[in-house]
Amino acid sequence: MTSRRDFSTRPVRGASFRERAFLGLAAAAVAVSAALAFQAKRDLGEAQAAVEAARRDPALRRAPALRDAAGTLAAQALATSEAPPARILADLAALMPGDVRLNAATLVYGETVLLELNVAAREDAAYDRFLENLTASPRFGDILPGAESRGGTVTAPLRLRYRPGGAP
Amino acid sequence: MSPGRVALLLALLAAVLYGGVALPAATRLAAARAEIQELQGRRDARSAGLMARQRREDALQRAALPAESASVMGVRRGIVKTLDAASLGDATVDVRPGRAPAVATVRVAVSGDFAELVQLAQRLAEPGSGLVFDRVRLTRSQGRMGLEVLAWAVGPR
Repeated sequence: MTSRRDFSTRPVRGASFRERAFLGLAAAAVAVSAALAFQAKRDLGEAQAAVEAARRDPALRRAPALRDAAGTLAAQALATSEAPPARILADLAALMPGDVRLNAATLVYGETVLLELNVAAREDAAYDRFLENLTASPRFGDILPGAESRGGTVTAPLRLRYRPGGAP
Repeated sequence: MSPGRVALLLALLAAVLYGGVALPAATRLAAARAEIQELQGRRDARSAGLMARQRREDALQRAALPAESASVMGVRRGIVKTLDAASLGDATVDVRPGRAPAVATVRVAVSGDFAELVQLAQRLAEPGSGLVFDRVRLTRSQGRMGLEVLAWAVGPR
């Protein structure tokens, strides 16, 4: 019986370029994912703390309802002081062409001042100009013209809102 | 372990980190930011509401009559004095007890020249008159103007 000795060696294969590239990419992906996870966790912690602080803000607690008699009266008091009839009528007069006049005006005070006007104009064009002036003015809004008689003298009702501070 | 296997494990770890931690945290972060924005919007709206309410309360306080005049008789006296000073004819004054917080309900009707009527309405609207306007009506009839003021008289609170 003879002993056979094997002297052959398998060459140790080094990592191929493709494997090394894959390894590098995978390591980079782990680093990026870890960084993203860390940053997202940190930002989330800060945001959750901010949410808790915002929820505890006393400014968010419900104020007593204002829709009672005192609330309405207070709103009318502010409207009376900011929009007395003289101011409203002066602002209206400034927008009226010479041949337009007020036959009647009702001023209803509340959160805002609602005006119900009855206007007479000698000519259609003058009334149209008055409406255009009102539309362009920041002090008047929600303009609702009523049925108007045209063809010479115009008489027409008009509803609108007065904004003492101008358009919001 | 071969480099290929190590790379595969690392790629799996990256996927787990991204899908299991980063992505859910980012989703919750977006929700938290949206909630912060909504809470800030609500706080701003509430602050604006409180400021508006304070302005109205201040206006009511400015309009109020002093305690000694805050009665039906006191209100009537003040209005009659204002009317006398305006020297307008054909006036009607109706002062009745009001429901709290108003001291009285007031109706003043008077006719006269447009400019004088507007001036009278201005005096009635001045702070310290005690009047808070509910409705003011100006009408033209047979060449003359008429003014009607419906108002509340208010006293100190």
